[in-house]
Amino acid sequence: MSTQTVAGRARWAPGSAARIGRRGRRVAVWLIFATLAASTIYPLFFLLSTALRTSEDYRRAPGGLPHELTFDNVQRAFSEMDIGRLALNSLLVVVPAVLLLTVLSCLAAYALVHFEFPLRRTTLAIVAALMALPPAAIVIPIFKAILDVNLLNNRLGLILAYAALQLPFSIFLLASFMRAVPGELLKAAMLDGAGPLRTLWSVVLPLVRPGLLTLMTLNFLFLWNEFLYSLVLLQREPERTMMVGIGQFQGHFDQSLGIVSAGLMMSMIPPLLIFFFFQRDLARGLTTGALK
Amino acid sequence: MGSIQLREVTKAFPKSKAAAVDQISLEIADGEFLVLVGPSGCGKSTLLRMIAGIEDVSSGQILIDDADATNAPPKERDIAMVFQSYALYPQMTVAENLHFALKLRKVPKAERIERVDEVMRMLRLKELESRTPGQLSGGQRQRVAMGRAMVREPAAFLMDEPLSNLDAKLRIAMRSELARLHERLGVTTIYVTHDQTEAMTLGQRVAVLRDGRLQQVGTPQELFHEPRNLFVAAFIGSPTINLVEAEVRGGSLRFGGHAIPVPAHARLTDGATVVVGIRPSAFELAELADDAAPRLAVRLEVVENLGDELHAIFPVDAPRVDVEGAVDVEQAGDEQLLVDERALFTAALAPRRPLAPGDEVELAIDTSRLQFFDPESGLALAGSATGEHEIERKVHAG
Amino acid sequence: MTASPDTPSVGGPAQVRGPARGTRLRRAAARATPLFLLAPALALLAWLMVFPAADAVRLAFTDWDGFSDPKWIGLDNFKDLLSDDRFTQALTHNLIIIAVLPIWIAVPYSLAWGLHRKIPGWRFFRFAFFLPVVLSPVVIGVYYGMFLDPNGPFNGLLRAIGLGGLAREWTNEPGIALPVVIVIVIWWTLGIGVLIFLSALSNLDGELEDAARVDGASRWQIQRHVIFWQMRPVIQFWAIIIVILSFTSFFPLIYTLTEGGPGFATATVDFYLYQEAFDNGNLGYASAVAVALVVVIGSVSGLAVALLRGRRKAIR
Repeated sequence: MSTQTVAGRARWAPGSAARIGRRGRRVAVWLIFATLAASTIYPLFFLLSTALRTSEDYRRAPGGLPHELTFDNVQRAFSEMDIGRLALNSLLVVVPAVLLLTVLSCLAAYALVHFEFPLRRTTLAIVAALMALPPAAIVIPIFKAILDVNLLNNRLGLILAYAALQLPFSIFLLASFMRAVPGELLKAAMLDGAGPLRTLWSVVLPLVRPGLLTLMTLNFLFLWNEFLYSLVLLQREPERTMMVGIGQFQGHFDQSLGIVSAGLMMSMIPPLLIFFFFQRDLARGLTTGALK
Repeated sequence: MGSIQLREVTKAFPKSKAAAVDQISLEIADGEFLVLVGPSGCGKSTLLRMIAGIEDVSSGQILIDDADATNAPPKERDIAMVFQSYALYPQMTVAENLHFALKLRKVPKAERIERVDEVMRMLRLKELESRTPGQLSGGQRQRVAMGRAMVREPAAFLMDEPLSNLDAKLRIAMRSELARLHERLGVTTIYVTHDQTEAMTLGQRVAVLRDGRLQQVGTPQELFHEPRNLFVAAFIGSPTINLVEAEVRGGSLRFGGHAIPVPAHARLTDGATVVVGIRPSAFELAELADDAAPRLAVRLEVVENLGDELHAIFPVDAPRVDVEGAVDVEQAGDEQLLVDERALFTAALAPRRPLAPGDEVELAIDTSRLQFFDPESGLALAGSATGEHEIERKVHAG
Repeated sequence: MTASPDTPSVGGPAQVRGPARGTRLRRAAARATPLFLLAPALALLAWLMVFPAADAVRLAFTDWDGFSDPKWIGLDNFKDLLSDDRFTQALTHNLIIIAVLPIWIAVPYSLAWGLHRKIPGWRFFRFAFFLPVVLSPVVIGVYYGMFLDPNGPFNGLLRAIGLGGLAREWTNEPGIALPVVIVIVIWWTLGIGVLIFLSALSNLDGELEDAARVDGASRWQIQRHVIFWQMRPVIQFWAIIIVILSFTSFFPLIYTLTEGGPGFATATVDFYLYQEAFDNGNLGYASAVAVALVVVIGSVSGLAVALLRGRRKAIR
């Protein structure tokens, strides 16, 4: 009954001069918001239009609308930048990593939340501490560890590194969802004769399905956009991933803005799809940590 | 010093058709203790917040001490509020919480300290003064919230379910402390609750709300004995009033195979259908009752023994009369596990002899206490419950 | 993402033990269950997180080119670090970035406040502010490279509105390039901050705000005593996140936008670390940079939290 919005609350009606002053301030604030929003939407428009116009057309009015549309840049992104191959390479790393992460974090979070065992709290503390470890700071020893097992320039190496890097966060996120599953429910399932794995599969996972979805979209997004490890662990051209491919292409061919834009647009398709369809899940995942 | 008048106060939310508070007019006299009661969602809290100035008024007028306060900001109304969650500032100690509002009002330090000290003494908060709310129990927090309102020495207290976060025992204890406090301070108080028992025990007058509309205002006695409509009848009183549709034929009320004579005070037309309301306490074991009282032979289904009272529950072979919203979610214990379309009656009896489910007993009805309602409109029919209770009420009011 | 300080204290629901009945063997098996469940995750973490974290420290004391075996050289790397101008320069850049931390907090906080007060079009704004968050730093870097090009749309816009005098090589002018990079990163991470603050604002105790209003508090007093106080843990959390982000998330952006230039004007510690390790082949030395990085992050986050906590005493 007491959840009325702030806008609906009483506001004292001041004198008219003050009212005009307030209105002026409101318009100014609104314009700041609008400018900022324009600056975040504009890149999509800019990259799309640059991808679909010739470089002569671009030079005429770089920020404006294209005169005529051409798919030449898109074609050349496939032929010269080999964007199809880059996309496939990214998927071949990111998808297995996401699946591996999902399985490992489900099992681990389940154990950490719903079982009592020695050092449980210590384990949780270690997982939380690892979350604060910035990936950039341990890129060299991870490079060495992957090198030592001969997985450098092997997709499996990057998959495992990705899984390790995202695992603490994934466990933490899933654990926060699993904590919402009442322990009595698990006890009931076990009394009904279900083993621990059966209980996880038939009782816990269905209840944390929104959490799983959030986890998978977040991990996909992080890893699809990841740059440093991909650059370091897959150094040869045949396995090169999308972001590294585009990053290096633009460095080498400064002229072909259209092709780079076409490549960028294509690299943005999965993140944008996730953004449009799973915005709520993303938001939930990103704020879970903050509000504990 | 603290009268409050509401004139057709209305709150409409942009997106809903029905108004949350619909043209409510009420006068609260200086020093009065008025309770707003109703099921959740009835608009009672919204109304209180409008009086406080933290919810704006769509139309109508609010007068505090005869001055129009409809659009005044909260700090310009001389009122203090006690919230359901207590709303104590978590970072401040008990003493700081009490000082805060006075500090904001630039009350001189010496006076501030004096007022806070007095209130802390009165509410036994002295030993808690340097604790923060996080270190207090529910009851202690409640006292701090009261104290924060009291140091303001306002024209009126507004209380929004102030006891509902306490456990049952403490709630009852605090209830009587509140009554004593009001007795002592004599400050106008408007108190919101969904609990009709709390309303009946605390209020000098009680206003019953439903769906944003005022149903009835009156003393607890009036509401109990002369409810204006079915909703008030069903909402007030515990156990809930027994309701059944009856046919008036040949001077008798006929329902579910029973027939009892139409009492003298009732002016009912022959052949009409009415809803009869029988308070559980209007029943008595036949052997203890006046010989003249009509009898009902019933077979008990459930017997609840409360020690000094016994609730005998029995079916009556007539359709149930449901009053929407009258049974609050909080009292959902009345929810039936077994589907039963028959009316279930409750009789509150003196535990003179042991009773068990399945027993066949004769119950006498005090027909002078029957209440009658129109089945279509739900309004009370003229001639419901009069006589001795009229007198009883006057005695109470005097 | 980062640990919130109280993660380990799981006040979770009742713990389920293995079934109580059964033979000793079965009971032992039940007791081992959580270990089986945890084993794969822990093995991976040990191999690729815990061990490398320790190894980073060891490598910092070696000379290693990435191919031959690391050679132990004691404290030499750290000695070099102290007299390394480029490291000092990169670290200075990072500290400048940290110095704008208040802006980095205030901007998303104010925006979230506007959205919370339902500024007209707030749904659209919420959507728009969040958009850059899903974009890869590569996309952002390349886009801003084009956008801020001397002949790009931004200068075009300035000329069109008569501010052509301001037009310049935004990413290639010392003194300007670094602020530009900082603005871009703030812009990029804005959405997460807004999101976090917004959901915290919507969880505020509305009754407390009402109580303050009835007590006679002004807007500013409510903001200070009621809202800011409740938001403090979230602000702390965000401060730690951005301290970590500021030390570790500039690399891909700088790599694609300025390559550390002009000169070394936009290089940050994480960029320098990459350059030393994988361009110059000094992996041992770069490890020393990494160790220094973690030490600096730790102390700066600690400082940020302490400062925010210090404010608490001030409120009264």
